[in-house]
Amino acid sequence: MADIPQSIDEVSRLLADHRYIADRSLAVSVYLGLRLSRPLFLEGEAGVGKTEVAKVLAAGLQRHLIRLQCYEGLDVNHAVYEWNYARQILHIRLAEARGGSATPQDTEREIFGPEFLIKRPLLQAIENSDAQPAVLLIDEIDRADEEFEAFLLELLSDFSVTVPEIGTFTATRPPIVVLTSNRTREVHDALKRRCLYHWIEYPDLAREAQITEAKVPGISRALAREAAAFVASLRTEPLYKQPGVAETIDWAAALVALGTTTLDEAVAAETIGALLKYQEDVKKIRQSGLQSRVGDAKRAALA
Amino acid sequence: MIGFPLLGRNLIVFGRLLRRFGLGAQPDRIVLFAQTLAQVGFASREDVRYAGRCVFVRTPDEQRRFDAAFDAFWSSAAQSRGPDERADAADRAPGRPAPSPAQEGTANTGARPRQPETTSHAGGPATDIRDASLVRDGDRSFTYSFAEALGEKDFTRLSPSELELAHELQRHKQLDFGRRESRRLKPGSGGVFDARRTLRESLRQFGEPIDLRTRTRVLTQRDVVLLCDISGSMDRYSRLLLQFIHALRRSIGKVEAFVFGTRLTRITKAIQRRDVNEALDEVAASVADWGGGTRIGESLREFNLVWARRVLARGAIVIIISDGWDRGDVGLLASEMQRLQRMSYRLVWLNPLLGGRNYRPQTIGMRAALPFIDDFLPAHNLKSLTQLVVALRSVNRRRPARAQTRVLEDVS
Repeated sequence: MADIPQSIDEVSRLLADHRYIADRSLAVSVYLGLRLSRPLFLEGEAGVGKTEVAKVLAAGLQRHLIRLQCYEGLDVNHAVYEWNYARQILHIRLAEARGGSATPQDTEREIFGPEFLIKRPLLQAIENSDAQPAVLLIDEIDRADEEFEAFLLELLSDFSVTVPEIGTFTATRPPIVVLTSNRTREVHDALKRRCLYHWIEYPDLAREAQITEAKVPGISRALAREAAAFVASLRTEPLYKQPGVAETIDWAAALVALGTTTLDEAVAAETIGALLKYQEDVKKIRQSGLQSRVGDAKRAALA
Repeated sequence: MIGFPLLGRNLIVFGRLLRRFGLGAQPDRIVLFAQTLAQVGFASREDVRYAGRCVFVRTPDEQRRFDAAFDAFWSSAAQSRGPDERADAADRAPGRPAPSPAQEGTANTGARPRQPETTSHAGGPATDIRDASLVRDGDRSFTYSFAEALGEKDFTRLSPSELELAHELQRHKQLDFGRRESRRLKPGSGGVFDARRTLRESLRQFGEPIDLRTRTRVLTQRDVVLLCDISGSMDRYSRLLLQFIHALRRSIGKVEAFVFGTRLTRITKAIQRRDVNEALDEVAASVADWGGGTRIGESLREFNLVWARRVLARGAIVIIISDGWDRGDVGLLASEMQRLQRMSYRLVWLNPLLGGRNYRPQTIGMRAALPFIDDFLPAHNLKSLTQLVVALRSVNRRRPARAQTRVLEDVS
C-alpha cells in the first residue's frame, strides 16, 4: 500500500509513472483532494481523461478501484445495496422443509442478515475503508437524476449508509472520491461545493504529443507530434463533436497499425473516422482541404 | 495562517474581490481556501492560483473570471500596500471582464457593464435593402430593421396592461409541456416485478408470495428549451414573449432559454430571478444585439455546436419563437434546422405572424425552416400561447411522425 503523496511533484510523478501526463493545475487539485480528504469533481469535454485520473490514482496508490457508473434512474438498490431474494426464498423453503418451529419474526430476522445482503459500489466503498480506503469513482454523475444527486450529497458529507434491517455502516476512513461529469446537465451547486472542482482542458500540443507517446506503443516521437498537431488544428474548427485526447490516442494507434511513419493526406483521409464521429464533421474537414491541413500540422509539429 | 499575520485580512479582501467578479466566495469557501493554502504553500503563485480554482470555480466560465480576479489581485497588490487600498484598487481595476461571445455562448449573465458597442456586423444598409426585396409579405411593421442598431433598449418598467398579462400567465399554473418516462421506478401496478416488496410481504404468509408487487416508471417533466428571436422585426412581441418565458420558468422549472438576433445569448440564469422586472432588466443588460437584425441560421448553428449536446440530452422539447425574417444564409438555416430537429424530441416554431388571417409563410427563411418543424403555431397573444400548451399536452408521449408535410390551416 502506497502512502498519500507528500507534495504536488510527487503527485505528478505518481500519475506519470502510470502513463498519465497531467498538467500542474490537475496535480494541485489531486494533491489537495488527497490531503484534505475532499471529493474531486472533474469536469471536461468527452475524452480528456477524467475517468482515467481515478484509475491511475487507484493503481498508483495500490487501492481498490470501486466504480459506479451513473445513469438515469440509478437508485439505492443499484448504487448501495440489494437483498439477495433468490437466496432468501430458498432459505425460507429450506426452513419449512426442515419443519422448524420458527415464527415469522425469527425467519425475517434471519433472512435480512448480512449474508443475504448484496453490497453495491457505494456500500463497498464505505465498508472497505477499514483496511485502506478505496478509490471510489462516481462516473458521469450528470447522467444520474436529481434524486440520486441529493442522495449522494448526503453520502459524501458523512460517509455512512443505513440499511434499515441491519444498521448503519460508517466509514472509519473515507474513501478517495472522484466524480466526473460531461456537463450534459448542470450538476447542482450544493454537490459541487462538497468537492474540489477541476475543469480539464484539452492539452496543448506538446503535452498531447507526450500523452500519445506514452499511450501508443511503438509510435515515433515525430509521428506523435504530427498527430497531436493535426488534432489541435481540428479543434479550431466549429465541429459538432471535437476530437478528445482519447480519439487522438485511437487515431495514433491506427496510424501505427497501418505502418505509417509520417502523416500524409492519403492516410489521414482513410483514418479520419477515428477522430470525427459525425458525417457532417467529416465532410466539412474533407472540404476544407485535407492536404493543406496535413502540411500545416507537419510544420507545427516541427516548431 | 500560522506565521502570516496579514493572511487572514488578505483572504477577506480577496474574497470581496471575487464577489465583485461575480464568484461565490462565502465564508466556508474562504476557510477551505485557507486550508488549501496550508497545503500548497506560497512558493509558487501558479500553485496558489490552481488551489483557488479548486475552491471558487464551478464552471469553465467561472474559471476565466477567477483567473482575471486573481491577476487583478496580484497586480493591485504590487501597486499598493494596505489590504484596504488593494480592494479599492481592485474597484478601479478593470472590473468584471466582459467575456467574449465565444465563451460559453455569452452565458455570463452577471450584470455586465453595458458596452456602447458601435461595431456593426457584416451587412450594411445596402445588403439589407437587397435582402428586403426577397420578402413578399405586405405588413410594413414587420420589415427588417435596416440598420442593426446595437443600442440598448430601455426596458425598465412594465405598463399596467403588461402587468395584467403577467398575472394572467402566472395563473396558468397547470402549464404542462408533456411528460416523459424517466428511468426511475416507483411502486405501482403494471411495469416491472418488484422482488423486494413481494418478498417482504410474503413473509406475512410464511414466505408464500401471494401478491406480486410491481414497479412502474416515474413520469417527469420534459425539459423545455426556448430560443427566442429578439431582432427588430420581433420588437413588439419581445417583451410579451420574455414574460411568457419567465412565467414558464416559474411554473415548470426545467427551462433553458436563449435569445438571438445576430448572435445567441443564454438567458437561463437571468430568468431565474423571481421578479419579472428584474429578470427582464438582466436579460436586457446581457444582450448586445437587441432589436437588431436576424441571422437565424448562424444563431442555430451556434446553439447546435455549443449547447445542443448539453441541454438536449434528455429528450427536450425545443421551441423557437421567431417570425422567420432572416437575412443570414438560408442554406445554413435549413441544414441547422434539420440537425436541431433530429436532436430534439419535438421542434416547435411559434410565429407571431401566424395569428394574422392571411398569413402564409413566404419569407425565405420561414420556408427554409418549415420542412423541419413538428408544430407550427401562432404566438401573437396570450390565447395562442395557452393554445400551445394544449397542443403539447395532447401529444404527451408520442414522438411526432417526421418527414410529413405540415398542414398550416389546422392550427389557427
